[in-house]
Amino acid sequence: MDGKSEAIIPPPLPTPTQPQVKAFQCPGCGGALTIRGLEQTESIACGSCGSIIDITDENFRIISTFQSRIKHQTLIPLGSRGKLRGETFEVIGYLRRKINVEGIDYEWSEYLLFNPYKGFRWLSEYNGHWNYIKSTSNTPKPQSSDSLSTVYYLGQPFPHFQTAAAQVSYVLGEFYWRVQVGESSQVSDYISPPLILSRECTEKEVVWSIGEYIEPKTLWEGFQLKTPIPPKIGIAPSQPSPLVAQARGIWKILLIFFLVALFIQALFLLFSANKLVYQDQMAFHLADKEKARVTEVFELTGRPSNVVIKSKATVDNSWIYLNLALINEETGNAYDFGREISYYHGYDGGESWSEGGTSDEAVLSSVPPGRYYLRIEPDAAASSINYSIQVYRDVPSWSFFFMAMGGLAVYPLFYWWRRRTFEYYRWSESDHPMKALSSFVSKADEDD
Amino acid sequence: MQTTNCPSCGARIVFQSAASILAICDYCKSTLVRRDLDVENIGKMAELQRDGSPLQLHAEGRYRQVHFAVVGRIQLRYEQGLWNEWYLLFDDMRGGWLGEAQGTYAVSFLTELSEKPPAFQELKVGQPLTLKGKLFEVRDLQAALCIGGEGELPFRVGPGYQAPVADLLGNESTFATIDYSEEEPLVFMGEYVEFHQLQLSGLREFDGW
Repeated sequence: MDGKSEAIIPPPLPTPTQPQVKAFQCPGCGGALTIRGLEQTESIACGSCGSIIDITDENFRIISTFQSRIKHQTLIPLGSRGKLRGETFEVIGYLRRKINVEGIDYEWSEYLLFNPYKGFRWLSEYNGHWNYIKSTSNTPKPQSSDSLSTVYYLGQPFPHFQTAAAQVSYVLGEFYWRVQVGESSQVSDYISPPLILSRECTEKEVVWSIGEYIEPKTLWEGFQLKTPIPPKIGIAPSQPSPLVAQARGIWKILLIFFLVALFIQALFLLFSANKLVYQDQMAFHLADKEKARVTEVFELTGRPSNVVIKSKATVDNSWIYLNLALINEETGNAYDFGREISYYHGYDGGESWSEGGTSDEAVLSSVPPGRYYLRIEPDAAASSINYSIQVYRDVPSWSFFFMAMGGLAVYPLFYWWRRRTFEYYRWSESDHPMKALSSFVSKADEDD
Repeated sequence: MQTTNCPSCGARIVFQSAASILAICDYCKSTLVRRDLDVENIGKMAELQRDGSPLQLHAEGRYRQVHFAVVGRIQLRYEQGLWNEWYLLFDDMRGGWLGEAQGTYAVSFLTELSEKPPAFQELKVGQPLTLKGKLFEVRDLQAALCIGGEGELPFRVGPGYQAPVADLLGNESTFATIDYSEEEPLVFMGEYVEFHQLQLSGLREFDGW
């Protein structure tokens, strides 16, 4: 184009927009203020004189001033840039907010983070616990009209934790609205650790935000801070229970132990001889009372293992007491034990009842192999009772297995107790404190 | 696409969308209303306020796989701050709106309703409202002040007019806006989206970012 074919020569483009205001003097005290939130900042609070300035106003009008006895120190300095969850943000504002519960003020810090493309995020800090927060346009749905009930966010339940009126008590730096010390909103928190949902309600609007518990170490790394990390005090509402993470490991270990116990038990069952080595029928007569008799000698073979003596007696509203000894013929070593078989039954007050039985089983463990016999010394009040004895060698036993299972149950119980204790302390600061375990105990005492 | 020249300064004026009836000259800020084959200059458009928006005219992006170009913009002031409605022209020739402020992004489309929405005065914050069979909750009620516009737009806007607007939130990031500035309220329905979902390009660059 030579300028002739185009009838009208386009005028030059407008001069590029002036560089953004980045630094200016505080109209309150003359101190230097820096604007980091580019053109999205509406107001800025001067840390030296407590003036809050409307920076959308040409003359930098002071909206309000506030007095604060304490000059709060930010743990992450204004102007710090850091990477969180893969996104870069800059700290541009800081405020303190407080709630009053039963006459006690609880105050926490909030840091406003800015990225010109992604907007704003928040970091909240209370007692060394941090949440990384963004507002959400995905409105959680309440379970019922009761504001203290559970809400659902993306299908996930969030039980109500606390509702309180939160008031701004201190401000520093920039904000995307006209911040005021003293401005208040009704804040309701709902938790599903590590997530926390907050509903902030003013007369004009309702804003939901979603926060995630963030380890201070992650933050300090993200912002490359060299300062010491303030220690965590207590348990935060959104703090994930370290025990939940352990649960999988615990179940895995328990499963392994269970399988090992099952395997050992299976071996026991498989390799037990379960052999009948002696049996005999005998009769007791009152005339032979206190007279001992001995059985024939029988052989116990194999490795040292158990011996089970099963006895039966024709007791019927009567008893028999067998004084028994298993004696090694060669060494004279004796296992002495007494067994009572008694069986009583009747019909009383329209109900039939019974007690005891006609058989008994005694277990002697780890009996070495050898030649043995039984010495039997029966005693009874009845005139005659027939009884029988059976001796079994190497009978499979479930006692090891049940003991192992009992032992295994101790850890889950302990784990459950620790997990509940953690939740107890988490919820102790909420509107819905849990009952202490001790209260169940004292309740049981009262019932007694 | 229709091109003409600005009656005031002679610069080239392009109407990319057939639905656009108004264009603001990039050079002299004359507000031009489209008449059959010509344009009428109805005066200068007010300067837009600096708002830190990363979007600008001619930026491009995608919404639900469909490519769009940013062809116009209305800037509004709410109590909470500035809000932009960017007029989008999709490759399938649909027009749409990208609401944007402070890192919040929302795509919406003008929606015809069979029933008339309730009057502005009848609405209350927190009130449930069903539009097109979908349940919404009134989130915000206020009069937005139009600061000005740029590029091309499907209706006439001028600085200074007050638009009573009801902001409604629905399920799963959906929303609706009822604009009561016309005799017949206009309903826009859409959803909030994340910055990265729009795959925007041709954005403003910020020093140090």
